[in-house]
Amino acid sequence: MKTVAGIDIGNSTTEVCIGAFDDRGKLNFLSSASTRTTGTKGTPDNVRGIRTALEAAVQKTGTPRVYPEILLLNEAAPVIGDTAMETITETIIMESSMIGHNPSTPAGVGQAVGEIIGIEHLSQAIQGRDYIVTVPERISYEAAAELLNAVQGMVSVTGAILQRDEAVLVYNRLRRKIPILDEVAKLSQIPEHKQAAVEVALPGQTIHMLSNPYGIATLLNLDAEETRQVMPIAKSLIGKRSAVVIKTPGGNVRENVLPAGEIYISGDSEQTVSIDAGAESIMAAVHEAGTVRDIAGQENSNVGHMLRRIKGGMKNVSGQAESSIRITDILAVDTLAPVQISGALAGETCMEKAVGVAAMVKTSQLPMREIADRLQAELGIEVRVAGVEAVMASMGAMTTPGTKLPLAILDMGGGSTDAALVTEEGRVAVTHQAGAGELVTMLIQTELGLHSRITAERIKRYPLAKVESLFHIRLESGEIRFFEEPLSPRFFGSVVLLEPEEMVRIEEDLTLEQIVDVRRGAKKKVFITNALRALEIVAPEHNLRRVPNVVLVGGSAEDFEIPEMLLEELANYRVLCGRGNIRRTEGPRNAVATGLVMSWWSE
Amino acid sequence: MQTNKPAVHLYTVDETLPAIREICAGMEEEGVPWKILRMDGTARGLAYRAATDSVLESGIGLTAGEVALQMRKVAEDRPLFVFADPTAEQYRMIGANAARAVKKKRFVTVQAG
Repeated sequence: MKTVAGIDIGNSTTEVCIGAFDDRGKLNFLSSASTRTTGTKGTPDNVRGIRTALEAAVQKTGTPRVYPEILLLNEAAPVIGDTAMETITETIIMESSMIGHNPSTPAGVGQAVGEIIGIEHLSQAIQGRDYIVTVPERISYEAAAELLNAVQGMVSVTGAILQRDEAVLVYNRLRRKIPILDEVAKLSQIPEHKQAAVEVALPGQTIHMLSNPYGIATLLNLDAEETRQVMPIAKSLIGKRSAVVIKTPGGNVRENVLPAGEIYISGDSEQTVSIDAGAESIMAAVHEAGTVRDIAGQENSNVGHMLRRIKGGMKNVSGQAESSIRITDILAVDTLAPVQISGALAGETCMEKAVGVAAMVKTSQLPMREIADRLQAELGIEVRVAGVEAVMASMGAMTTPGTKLPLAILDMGGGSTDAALVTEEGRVAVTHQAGAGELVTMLIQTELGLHSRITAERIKRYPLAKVESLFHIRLESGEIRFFEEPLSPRFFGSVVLLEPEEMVRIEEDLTLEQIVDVRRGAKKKVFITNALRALEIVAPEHNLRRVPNVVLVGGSAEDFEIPEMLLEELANYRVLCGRGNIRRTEGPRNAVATGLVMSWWSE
Repeated sequence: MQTNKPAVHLYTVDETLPAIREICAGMEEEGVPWKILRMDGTARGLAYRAATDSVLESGIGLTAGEVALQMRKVAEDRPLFVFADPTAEQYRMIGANAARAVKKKRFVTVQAG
């Protein structure tokens, strides 16, 4: 009998599988374990993680414990992925010409037009003119209502803008009702004596006059040229529940196109494409370039920094000259990012166009032998470096019930999406594509405007629920779950993530539906695009329809919805696709480690 | 109780307490009706009874130096919020949150005064 351990060092996890061969070569799997990879994949720092995982696997072999006699390390694919974001547009409010936001409780409904005046200057108001009154923080709702009621009949006040959250309180005390907007933080920056239009939407609706250029023209008497100029204002007010537009001569809302970097692709042909052309043009250029030799970015642009950073990272890992390190693929995805508008008076944000980019760097080889030597010295067990990652993964994937050759695997990790296709004769085609779980996380963070990457990562992994009372929550599937003990008031009314051990509150003011949309959209943008790209490369004659069955493996295959999305998409090509179940027990994990153990006997 | 209209109940040991003005402002801004009754007890005890009596299942208990917010069926000794010697902002916040409990909106928080 011979006991063998297969060890797979991935970008994020290190997997171990222990198996024993009897004298006739019959393999019996004993145990497996997984732990976080220590250090960058392919560096001697990995040894610590390997030992932890190995120890855990040995513990699980039962009594008496079985120690492996040979360790097999995979020849890890020498690829590292990284991501970056380039915002393409920015919105600037000139001369405080606009307020548009969603205070939770504005008051009154409809539109009003008038000249801006501070409430303390009402005595200087001129009869026969209409006014919109601004009320600073230091004036209480009672005082404000009293002042406004006092001038009723003498001064025509058509609307009000409050700094505090007291719109309803003022409104309820007014004898003549007007639309009121509140929670405008930088009230003092609103210019006096300018014409302005105020709009508060009906409950449950959004504004319709100020989000329409002709609506603004109607209220503020604009000519054709001025109406053209308010277009960006109208556009940025779409979807708001309340808004103010101020007519200032130089005032405007401008959408700038930021100087985003260019990407230079050298392949069968040379291609140059600007990031601000959008994802479609970038991906077309990548496709046009044919087999990519290397990709570089413009100096001093985000994308330039990112591409340089990942090359530097690989240089440190592999210890090879920079000239032998090349970026062989990028994936660009269009996205929208809520960015705070500069010059905003109430913290307004605007959805700016952005492009998310994942890149992948490749070198000739990782220094696996170094890790093997270190491990051998520390443990006193023979360590071999054996087998190409994709081939091992395919062998492991074959242990999934219901599979046969020819077989394709899609290994969806954190940094890259890899595909391999094994024919009946045992020939293997392999590809590595940039973009996987980490790009999804970045898209979720950007599109939802989340402060923390960790929150985005959790949103990617766990389903959501809405806390509807202290005793029950509604899951995103619509199901209700009850609790015997009341939940903490912190959770009340919030959207929460259902993690295995606990509930985590989403701090940002987002609805469950918004988060679900963004989460599913991000997964589709990255994984469907990449699955199709990768399978097309390894497919016979690059024809997707000739791909046999596909087994999904790797960390992102454990996701609770990605495998179903791919199954649905690939069904269009009549390709059978599903989450792997390695050795009937491991799910999509442990494929490479399992393949390594299996490969030992045949050598 | 003769009639029980939908309202947040505010039970207080003294209906002339100035804090009532702030608490009610909080509820008014959120647009939820309330009802004030004089009653003896502790802030926690009053809040518990108020929440139990309220059709909207939300109640506030107020004494001279303490205020508590409670929702129906939550244990009496575990009020959702309780403040001793509250600031004006905390009173306003208790009112707003009593209303938000009814509207099923997440609670607002203020820095401890």
